[in-house]
Amino acid sequence: MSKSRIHLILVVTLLLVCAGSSLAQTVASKSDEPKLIAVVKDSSAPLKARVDACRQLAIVGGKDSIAPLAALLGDEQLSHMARYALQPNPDPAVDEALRDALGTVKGRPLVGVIHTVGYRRDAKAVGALGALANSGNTVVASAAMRALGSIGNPAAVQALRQALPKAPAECKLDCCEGLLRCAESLAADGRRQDAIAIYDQLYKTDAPHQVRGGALRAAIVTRQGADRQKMLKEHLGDEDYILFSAAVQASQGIRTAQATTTLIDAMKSLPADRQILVIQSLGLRGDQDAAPAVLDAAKSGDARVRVAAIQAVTELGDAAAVPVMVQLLDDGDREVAKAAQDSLATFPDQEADGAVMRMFAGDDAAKQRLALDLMGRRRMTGSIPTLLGAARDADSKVRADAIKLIGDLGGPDQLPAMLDLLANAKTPQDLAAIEQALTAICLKATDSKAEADKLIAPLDKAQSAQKVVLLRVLGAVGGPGALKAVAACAKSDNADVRSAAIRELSTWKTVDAAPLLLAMARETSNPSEKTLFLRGYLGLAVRGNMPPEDRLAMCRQAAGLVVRDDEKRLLLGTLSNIESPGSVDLIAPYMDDASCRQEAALATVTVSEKLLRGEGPAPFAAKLIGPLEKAAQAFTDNDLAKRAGAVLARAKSKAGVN
Amino acid sequence: MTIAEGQAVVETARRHRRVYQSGLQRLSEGNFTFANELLRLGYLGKVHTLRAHIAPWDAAEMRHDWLPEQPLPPKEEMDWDAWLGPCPWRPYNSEYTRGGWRNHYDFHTSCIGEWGAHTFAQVQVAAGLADTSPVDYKYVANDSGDGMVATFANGMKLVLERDMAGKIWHGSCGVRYEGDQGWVAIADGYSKCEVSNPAWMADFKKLVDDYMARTQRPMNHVRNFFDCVKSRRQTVANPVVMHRSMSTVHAANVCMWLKRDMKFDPAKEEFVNDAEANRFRSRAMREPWTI
Repeated sequence: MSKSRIHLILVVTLLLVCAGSSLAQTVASKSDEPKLIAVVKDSSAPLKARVDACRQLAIVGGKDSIAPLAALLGDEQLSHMARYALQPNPDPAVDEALRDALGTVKGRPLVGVIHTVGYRRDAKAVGALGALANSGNTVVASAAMRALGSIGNPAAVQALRQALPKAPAECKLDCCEGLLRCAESLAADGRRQDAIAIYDQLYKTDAPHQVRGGALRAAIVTRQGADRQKMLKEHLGDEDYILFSAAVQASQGIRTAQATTTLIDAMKSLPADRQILVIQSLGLRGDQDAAPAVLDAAKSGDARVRVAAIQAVTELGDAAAVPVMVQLLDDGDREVAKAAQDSLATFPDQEADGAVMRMFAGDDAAKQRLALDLMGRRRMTGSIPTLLGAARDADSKVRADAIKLIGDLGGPDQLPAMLDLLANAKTPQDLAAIEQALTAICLKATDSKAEADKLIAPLDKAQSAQKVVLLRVLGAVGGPGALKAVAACAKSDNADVRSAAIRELSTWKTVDAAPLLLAMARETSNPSEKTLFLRGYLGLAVRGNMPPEDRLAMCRQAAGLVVRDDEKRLLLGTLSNIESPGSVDLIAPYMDDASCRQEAALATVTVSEKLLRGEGPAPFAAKLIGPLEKAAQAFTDNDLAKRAGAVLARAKSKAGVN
Repeated sequence: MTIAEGQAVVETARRHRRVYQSGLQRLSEGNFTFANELLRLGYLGKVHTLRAHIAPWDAAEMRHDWLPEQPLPPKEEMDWDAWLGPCPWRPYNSEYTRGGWRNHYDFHTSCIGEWGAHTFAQVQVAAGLADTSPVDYKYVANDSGDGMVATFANGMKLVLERDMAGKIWHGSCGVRYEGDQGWVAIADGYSKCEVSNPAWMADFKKLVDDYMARTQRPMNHVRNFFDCVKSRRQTVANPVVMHRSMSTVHAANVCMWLKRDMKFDPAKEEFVNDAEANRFRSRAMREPWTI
């Protein structure tokens, strides 16, 4: 290779890879074009360099690049990349070069050239493509037919029509595809009759269903007025399901009153599965004139049709359907009744709100509960006064549902009323419902301190069952005031109140409860309570955004109180979740304790695995070797011993120890 | 891979009345649907910003190198020509077939498309912009597109977020919608949406149920496809949704590759007064592949 050529390739390679990563793309500038062309022309240049040059010429290539690239169109290795560069180049000389290549290039490259000619919609290539469509080479002919379709002018139509009758079976679909594309172009150019002629020809052929169905749909939507109406009507009764469903799909885009009438008329005489399709389309089209007929279909007949009709009439949103939906709630068919219920839950018209309220005003408890469910689904916040009355209903289930719904629909404004209900509640079911509602209401408040204060106010004088509810809600609301109030109740003489307060404290969500929990764990003489306090305290040690040092400091405090086996396991479980070498130090003594040696070994391995993951350095790795060796020996389970061995090897590797 | 290929999918599905569902499965998941409904129903007030997660690995800059050639396995095991499909030929290396195709220009749409393929669709559907494209893309001088702002004709801004520090999301493929009355954020792995107003969560079931009843689209992506096969309705992730969101991906990539601001015409689906950018709208297919 000459020095100048080596120099040239180096220059272009540098050009391609400069500015950043040696792998990354850099778009060349227009001034680089001569160098890129030189590489493309250099047959001794590496394939990769020529491919890269073509790729860059796709962006910056101009007239000068066309001939060198065109010279490669017959090259099995580089033909594609030559087209890659030529296809986006807007210069008309590209079309000339590609047309020339249609007559000279052979084999696979010719298929590619045909595709690019089609993509560029070169009308002057129709003659050559027409000849190729009849060439007898099925791969070439198929590509030519698609390309003619992309060009889509009358000459292309003529070429494809001539090719269709004698096209080999392998090419039929491509010829139809070409004709469909042509029809679209003609319709877009205002030549609707020419387009319709193609569609009519294709839907009547024995072509694959997607061609027949697609052609019929287009034949209908491209027509206008009575002609379109006639064709829609004809094919809504077509025995061929493909053509029937294509007609239905066409109707979805035709939003005229006549089309609605045609669909309704057709629906009446169709079998159930076809009725469903028509009904769904009537719903989708949104023409309210269809509502009476669809509503009729909802009332009786095949259950699947009725369900589709209920869904469609809901989409249409005609208020006249609401009383029918109410009646259908009692339908003997469960699917129909369920569909009616869903309809009432989502019906867009406000008439449905009224129907739900009337249903609730009746004296059937089951219907009242259904109405309450619908009020919730419809988010009927205007029903809250009614719900507050229902919260004192004689029927316990209605009462409980109404109370829960106040929580669902209401807000802080309903808190006083709910506290009043709480004060007078007598049954466990009522208390549970009120607790749920109070929690929901308080969690919606933007000022949680104010809500907590309102809950704390009646706490002292409340009866024990009410107090338990208030404590649970305070636990959910949180905050310093709530914490103080719950902590005070943890010292109550009443066992239920004390137990509820301890449970809330042990699951407190914020770390400000930690000192309190630790102190109570230290003070209590009840082992079960101590475990609860420690669990709550250690749970906070692994929560939130604290640095590992603070978490370890909390564990050290707890370690001083840990005596029983279950307490040791609690501590070890917590330490295994703190990713710090200090965790391993804290765990170490427990590996000498027979009662929790296995748990301590597992915690050591778990923490070490986390610390040693990744490929980076681990300056503490040497410190882990001793505890890990001890852990490996402690395990009685083979799998755990292997796990310990693996992490030990990793620690040694990172520490540089053999 | 290109705007032109997306257009071809849209045209083909319409022409042959095919039912098509792309793998934008979050459009059929409760948490993401709830977030979209909060936006649609006005809970957030006037929405001005849509944040979409892009993959926090790789880059917008793409690779053009070839991995070292390896001996081709038997064709029954690996048909390399078929694997490459319409993409440019390159020598075989098994790494490509094990996920190593990512970040190679011929096969991938960069860190922007890796997650943006999902998240851009999510935000465009949520904002009622699934049938259009941003009109303006602002280049950002980094290697990923992080912080790029793409603006729709209605003024709504789509912000590409890599979120390396996890300040916006703590899961993958996140979206966040911001309005003058609040915000909502959701990503994979969330048990529930994060919202500026916790009271909205009480409406979760109602909003998702109403969405399903209103659209007849269940919270089951595959079921939605089968339903549409029967009803001939458009699926939730229909060709237009896929194509327009991927067009946003492609345009953002072109903006990064050419390192300049871009204007885009959503009707013509081309860059405005930028012939160089428009050359990226298609790539010639390797023979014998054709459309």
